[in-house]
Amino acid sequence: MKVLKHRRVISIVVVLVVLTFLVPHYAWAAMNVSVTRQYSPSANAAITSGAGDNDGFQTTPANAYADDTSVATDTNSGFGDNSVPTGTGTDKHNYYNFGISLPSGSTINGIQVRADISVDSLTNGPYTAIRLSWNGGTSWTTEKSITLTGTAETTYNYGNSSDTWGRTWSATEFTNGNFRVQVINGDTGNPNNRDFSLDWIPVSITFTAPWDSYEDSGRTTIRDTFQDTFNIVYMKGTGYPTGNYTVSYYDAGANGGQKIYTESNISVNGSGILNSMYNLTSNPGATPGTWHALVQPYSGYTPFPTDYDAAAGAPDTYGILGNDSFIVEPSAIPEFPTIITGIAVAAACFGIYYWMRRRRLKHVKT
Amino acid sequence: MSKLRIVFIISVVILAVLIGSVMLSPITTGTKYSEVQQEQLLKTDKEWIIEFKILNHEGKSRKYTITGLIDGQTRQEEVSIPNGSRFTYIHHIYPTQITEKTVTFAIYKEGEDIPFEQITYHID
Repeated sequence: MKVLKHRRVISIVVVLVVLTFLVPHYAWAAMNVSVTRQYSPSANAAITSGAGDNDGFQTTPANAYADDTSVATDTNSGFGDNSVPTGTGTDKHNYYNFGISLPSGSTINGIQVRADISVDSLTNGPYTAIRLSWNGGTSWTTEKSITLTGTAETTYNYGNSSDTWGRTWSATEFTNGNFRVQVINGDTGNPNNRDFSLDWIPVSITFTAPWDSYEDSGRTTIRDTFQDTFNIVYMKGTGYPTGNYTVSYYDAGANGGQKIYTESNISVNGSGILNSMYNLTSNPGATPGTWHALVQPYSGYTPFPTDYDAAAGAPDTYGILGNDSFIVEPSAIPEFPTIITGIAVAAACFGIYYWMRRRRLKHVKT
Repeated sequence: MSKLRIVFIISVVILAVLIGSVMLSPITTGTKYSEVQQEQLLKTDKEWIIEFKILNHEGKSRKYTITGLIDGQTRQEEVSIPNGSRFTYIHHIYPTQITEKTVTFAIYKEGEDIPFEQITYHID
């Protein structure tokens, strides 16, 4: 009876110890993190046939490139029946050259177009619709239309970070030669005398770059959890445009993690392969948990900040082109194995002592 | 003295040494300082690789600025290093991309005008 009780207590202790080690591991999440970047256009063209009065935003259309006080204006928009966005009665204007350069092979999770619009009157239900082209204006997505809700400048969002506008996109479809945003103005009445003003028309792309952590130097086996047996993180990205990049690693410290390693000016040639590596044993002071490896172009952007939260919160400031998270267990960081070794030796010593003592007592009794 | 007692004493001594080395090693350094360690310049077929580590033994978290002067262009990077921790910096230099053959890195503590470490390499 006593032995049974003893065993039960030992079983409970063992289960608790196992759970203590397992629970934090389940709480850490490793994955390829999506990034949302916002881009503004730098070119435009009115649609000049079969598009209302065929002049789009006829006054200063380039004013829609930036969020400021100057606007592009479409005066007395449309011709005839302009209630159907894709009909011939609506004014249409293309904005393009967004300068989007994503790693090929990126997964496009969503596209959002922001339009900061004002209108002279809400009479006849003025609306602005948006549609996208992936091949220079030959083909278009189904448009998204919003009836304007105020005369003063208002921000309207079309799509969101998980809306792909009814199709699967590839990174190459966002190049300057391919990607177009078409702004369509209309209303439900006649005569067509609504005046539309457009302050800014940026597009936000939410994507997941092909940027992962591997367990081997050949980068053949993806690994999301690193511990004493796998304590070197081999990062690899594919499809990166030719150029130079910087990779920074963040541990699981304060503010989402502290930057603990930067590998700067890594050259990517025509292969599109971006490699980097970090030896987890090189910093005993690093904090285990969920780590991140971020990619940015070497030049043209502010170098990554000290905190992960600051970097992830301003992807455009830092030009983030890849974000991968992976788990670093305490055993991957060198001070921890030393402690574990100490504890193991202590336990072994105690075990030997206990065993020998019991043997001796048995011997004395007999 | 019995064998049992000898084993026990040896075990306790080993344990004490291990625990002592683990617990005491971080605080036996005494003075507060920052240092740059393991500066390396590696040459491969295609590039030069500059590597160094910044160690913080200041007794508190500190911010540092790494200023690189490469081919006449200045590049600055801010890092924050907790006490007892370190930051590793690697910079790749491609001879085909630079005209000047001198590369300098200076490491400043936050709020100080004079670098506590300056590294200059003449790449040829």
